Amino acid sequence: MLTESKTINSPDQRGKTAEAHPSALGGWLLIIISTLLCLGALMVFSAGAGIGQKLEIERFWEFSTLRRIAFVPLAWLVLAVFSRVGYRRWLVWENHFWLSPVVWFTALSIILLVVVLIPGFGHAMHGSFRWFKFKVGPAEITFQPSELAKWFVVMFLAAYAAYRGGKMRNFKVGFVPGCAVLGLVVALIGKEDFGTAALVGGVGMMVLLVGGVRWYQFLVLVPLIAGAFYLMVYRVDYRWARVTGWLGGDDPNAVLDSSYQARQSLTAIASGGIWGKGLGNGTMKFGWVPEDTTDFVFAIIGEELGFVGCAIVIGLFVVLMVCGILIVNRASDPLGMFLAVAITGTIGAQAVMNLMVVTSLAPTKGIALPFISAGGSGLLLTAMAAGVLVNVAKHGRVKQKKPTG
Amino acid sequence: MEVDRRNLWWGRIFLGVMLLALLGVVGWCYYLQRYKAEYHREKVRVQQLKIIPQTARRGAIVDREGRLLAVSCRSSSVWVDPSLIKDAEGVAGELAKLLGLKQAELAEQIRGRSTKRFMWIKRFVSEAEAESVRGLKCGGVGIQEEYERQYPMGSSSAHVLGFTDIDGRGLEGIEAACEDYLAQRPGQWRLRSDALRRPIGSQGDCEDGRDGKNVVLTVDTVIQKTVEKQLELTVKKFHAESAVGMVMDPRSGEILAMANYPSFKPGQARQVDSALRRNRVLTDPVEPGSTFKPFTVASALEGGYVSVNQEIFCHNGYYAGKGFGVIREYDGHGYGNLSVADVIARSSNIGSAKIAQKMGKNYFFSMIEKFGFGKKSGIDLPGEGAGILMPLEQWKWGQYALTRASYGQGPVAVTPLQLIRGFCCLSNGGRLITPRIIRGVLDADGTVVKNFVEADSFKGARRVISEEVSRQMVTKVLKGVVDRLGGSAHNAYLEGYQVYGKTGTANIPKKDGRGYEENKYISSFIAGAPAADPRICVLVMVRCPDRSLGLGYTGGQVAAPAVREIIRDSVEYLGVEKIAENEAADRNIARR
Repeated sequence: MLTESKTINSPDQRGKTAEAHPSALGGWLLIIISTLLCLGALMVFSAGAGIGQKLEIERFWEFSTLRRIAFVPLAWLVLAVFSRVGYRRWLVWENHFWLSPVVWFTALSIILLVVVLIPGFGHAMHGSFRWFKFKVGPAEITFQPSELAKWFVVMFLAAYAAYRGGKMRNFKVGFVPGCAVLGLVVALIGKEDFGTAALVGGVGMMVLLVGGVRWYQFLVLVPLIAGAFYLMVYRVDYRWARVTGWLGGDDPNAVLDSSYQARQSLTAIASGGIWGKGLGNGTMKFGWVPEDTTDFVFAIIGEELGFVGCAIVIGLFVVLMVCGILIVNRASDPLGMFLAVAITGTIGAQAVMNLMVVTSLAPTKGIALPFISAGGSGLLLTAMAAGVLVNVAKHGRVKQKKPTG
Repeated sequence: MEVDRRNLWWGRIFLGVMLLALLGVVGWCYYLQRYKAEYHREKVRVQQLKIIPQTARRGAIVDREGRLLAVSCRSSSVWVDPSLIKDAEGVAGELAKLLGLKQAELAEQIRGRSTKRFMWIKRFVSEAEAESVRGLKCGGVGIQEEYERQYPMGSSSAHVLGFTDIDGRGLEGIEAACEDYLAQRPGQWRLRSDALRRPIGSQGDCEDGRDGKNVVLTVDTVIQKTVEKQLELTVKKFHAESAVGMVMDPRSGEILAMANYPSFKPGQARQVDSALRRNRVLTDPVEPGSTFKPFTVASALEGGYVSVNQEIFCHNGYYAGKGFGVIREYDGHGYGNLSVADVIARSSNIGSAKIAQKMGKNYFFSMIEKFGFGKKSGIDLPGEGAGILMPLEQWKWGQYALTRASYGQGPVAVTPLQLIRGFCCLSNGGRLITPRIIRGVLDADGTVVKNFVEADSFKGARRVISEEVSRQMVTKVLKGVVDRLGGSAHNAYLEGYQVYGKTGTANIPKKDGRGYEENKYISSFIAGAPAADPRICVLVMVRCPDRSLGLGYTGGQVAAPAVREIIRDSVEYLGVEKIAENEAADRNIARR
């Protein structure tokens, strides 16, 4: 036990022995994620079929489905790189915590979240300012700063908790700074994207709790939230109307659009039956399910691959999360443990939210299905986070019963 | 640095909840895909079903020479989808301006159907109008290509052709009778579509439309137009109420012309009074009057009760007796002895009554029935009436019914069609043929589908009188009527064509059935030509010529000139050989 705890504190040394005794978990994760990536590319390609669409191969950047396929090797590369480079080397520097990349990136993402709201910099899609648009040669790249913020804020909180250690239970040291950063990011994201904000808020709180913040300290937030709600929602007529509309349906137009999406998605899944209509044979992708390559790609999976496809995809996520839990349990240091919790929690919660939206179990919000949905920057960032998770697994403890080499 | 592993439970709980949620989603998917699949598949089917109607063309109606009488032409109609129209006033204004409609009315209609998806604005607009509507920039307005039924000959043959409803389904006449042949079968392509209603691939059942077949009539438009012209002239000249006319081939029963005046335009039939659309040739029973006398005489000849030259005493114009009341000649004439032929030539009521009395009612009734009166002729046109023939059991009151029937009153009322059919029987050697107006049916590409022309035109025709009686009737009895000097229809004399016939000037019974209207007559003339070898039979029946004009009112005065003109034009058109009077007589003798 003593030697064990020593090695916990020196993961770089431990890394060498881990190579001799590689944890199978990392390998499993890579297999699962690769499978999800390929399945995603396949289904996005199928869902992207349309009528009257001319495919010009030299301008493939304009076709999200082809772009998505191009992103598979890229995501794989990112995954490979980040699973090999130790997270202590590039993400968190224990001795100079406030100079760590995770801090820079968190700060950068907060800045970008502000900038994207400034008209002229940000690009609005579906009426909300969530995107940056770049021209890279002939291609146009969209980038969502909330994706960046989502990953870095949860990893920052994990790193911060590991850095503060036992002092996290101290209200001023643990709760206040953690909640300040989290609250700022959630507020900035939440202005344009409620779903992601809720995801980040939920996972962030969980990370803070795991990191040592006492649960009752969160009670402080209750009057604050109530006050903010009163000022920002109840006192603003149209927002209050939206709330009552969502609750009671006073404003049918507000609900109609999203409920149409949800109904169509549900119909697509259910019509697939047990075995599905066959890959590529679905018809709902021809405009009947909106956003069928991105947030609602699971509907097309359900339609074309049936319950079998659904069960396989969800099963892969279940196995992924079980791996995540095992990685958490076997993490060799608090930083790794907190990072693993944050990353597994984010992937899991995001998958759950997306699947519940697509199957009409929750109201519609714009959340992508990790590794599956089309979307470049989000996919690469998810791959990066998954790479960190694999890296944590590699540095994990070997189980006690197993003889060490 | 040590970690408080108890705090890890927060993470385990969080991840555990997520895991449970994932399992819940799997369960929910299983429920949906196992038990709700059929329901949602049906929903998908309904939602994605796109029906592309395939139009087809209704068959044409042509006359015996292939002249187009009714034809369906491509046309455009304007419709709107009221549910898509937000600004009913504006759209209505634009459309009203372009199509000459009333804006307020149109806007009201569009608003009244705001939940519906389809509403006609105007059917069959001109190409220019359709083009201008296509140029409109407002949503929800569409142009539908469809077929419009057109009648190139105008009102000609209107009553024969009948008409269709606005969607081209036959309602009357040939349009209705031949609906099965004429009707097109529109097809349907049932495809799946994307959300913009564009069809996906070519799967689905596709049924192409099938054009209707073309119907060929026996009518000849040249003769038909002649008849129509003569009817119009006659009605106008005598200020008559109406007239009907027919031309029939006695050898085959083919109707060469069938006309009513006044007529209507089948294209606008829906705006016309229904009384005007009635084909009175088929429907209206009239008391035939003197035109019925030939049937009395033919029956008596056939039964051997009289012979052509037998003298009948006509009681000098006043014939009364127990059981049949008083019978007079028309216009107060009085005749003494008349031969049977003269009874017809002079149109003696008393003579006819006495001939009938010789036969007795049983025989006479059976002959009337054999001539086809009181029964539908079986013509291939809808709406035919059976005329009226009082059943024999009701021929009581002594000989009243018998004597009145002999000159076309009382228990007999006939349709013009029955009359000419009977007359054809007298002309063609004594066989009762079924009148026909449809020659055949052609496919859209001209292949013969049905041919109604029989090689033996008398096939199935019932013999009513013998060849001999028929010849006697034509050459001895009926020809005298058109005698240049003494016949009641000398007006119909045509050099070289030996017209034969019989006039009729029937009183019109009062509506209550008691007695007859004052000075209201149906003046008719029924004739055939040439007597040596009858090729056509013609009937003209004029209702209520104005006697006060002083131009005459009898069949010989009113109808006979029209019949003469019709016969003249027709026989020349048909190329009937003209032969001199004495030569014709020789031929008759030779044939006998």
